[in-house]
Amino acid sequence: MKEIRNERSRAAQGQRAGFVSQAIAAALDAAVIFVLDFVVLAAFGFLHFLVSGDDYEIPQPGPWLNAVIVFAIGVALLWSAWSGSGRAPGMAVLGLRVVGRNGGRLSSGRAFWRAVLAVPTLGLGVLWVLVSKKNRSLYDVICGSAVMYDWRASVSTRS
Amino acid sequence: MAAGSTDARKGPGTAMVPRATPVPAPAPGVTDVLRRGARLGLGALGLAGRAAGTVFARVPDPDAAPPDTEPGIAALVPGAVLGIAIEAERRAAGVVDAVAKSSAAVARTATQPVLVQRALRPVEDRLWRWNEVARREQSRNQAQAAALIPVIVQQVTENVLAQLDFVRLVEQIPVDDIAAAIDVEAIVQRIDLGGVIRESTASITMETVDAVRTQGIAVDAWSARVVDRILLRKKPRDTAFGDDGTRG
Repeated sequence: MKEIRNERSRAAQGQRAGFVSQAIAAALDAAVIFVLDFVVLAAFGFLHFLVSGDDYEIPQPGPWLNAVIVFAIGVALLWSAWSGSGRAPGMAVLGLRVVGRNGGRLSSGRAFWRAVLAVPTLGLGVLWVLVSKKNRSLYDVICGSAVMYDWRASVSTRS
Repeated sequence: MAAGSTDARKGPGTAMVPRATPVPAPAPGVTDVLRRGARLGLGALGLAGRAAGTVFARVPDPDAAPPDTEPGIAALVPGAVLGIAIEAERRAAGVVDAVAKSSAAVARTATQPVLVQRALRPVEDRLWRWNEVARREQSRNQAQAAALIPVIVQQVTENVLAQLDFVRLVEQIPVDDIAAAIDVEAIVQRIDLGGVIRESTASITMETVDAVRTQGIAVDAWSARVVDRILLRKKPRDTAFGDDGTRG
């Protein structure tokens, strides 16, 4: 793995990530979730086109149904990412990782509840990082997790 | 010219007023210059003759008679002339050396008395002035000559290059044979082109991403400082991830 050249960045590895990095990562994850929502709807429309024989069109569900779909996609994506590698797509770009209490992998349960909290609140719980003395978001406070800079290291086996 | 005595050779120039050496490097004697010059001239003449012979041999003369199988007496004439010249140079150098030694002894003897030295003082002073003028002029001449040499070399090089037909020279290079001798496939097989492209692309991408991440870390620290200042916090944030877990 390539070494980190910037001395400040190298020193920041393993430290709790700040607000801007977490916010950008959350925004990227939200964008990924909405793209996946569109893909799911397009795929459903294609399936409907194959079965019914009607003209192809992307389904346009109502706001509540769409919210449920987005919620389901978001929870599935973030839950699997945080309980696995610890990196959702946006976090992978920013070099962040969600970890558990002792720096190891976040447990599946905590990852699930973190995702359940993060999706409907649109990730706004990250704003708490601004005022936290330890750069903790609301999700970290509730679920006992932490987000840290981790550009290169592989998944920790500690649990 | 009179012959010098042996007494005059014991203390040459002892009664003269000592002065600084006008010229740093001692110049070679007249005899030495003549001997070296003559030898160099003869050597250069011989080299020129050999080079001319080589050139003439390359250019056939249609009117020339076929060469004899055995060289006659006439063929020995150039070598004999050269031998005579060398012998003459040696004898002339010997004569010049003897004359120079004699004249130096006479000069030392003649200038030994004090009265003669006083009489020669104006002459000596004038000689020193001329010597000084010659020294200054000579350094300038040498500088000019040193500056002229590169110009001459440049001019000669340009003239030689102007005589060359580069197009014809390049046409004579067997480019096709050289290209045919190169096993391009073997070279390509040795180079892992895909690996090189992958590594370079990954490296560029990683450096770009690292730059963005570095900026993110800097902005994180800046935003934390701003908020802490607004909240009148004096202690910096504890962002270290220790064994105490995420609590605290």
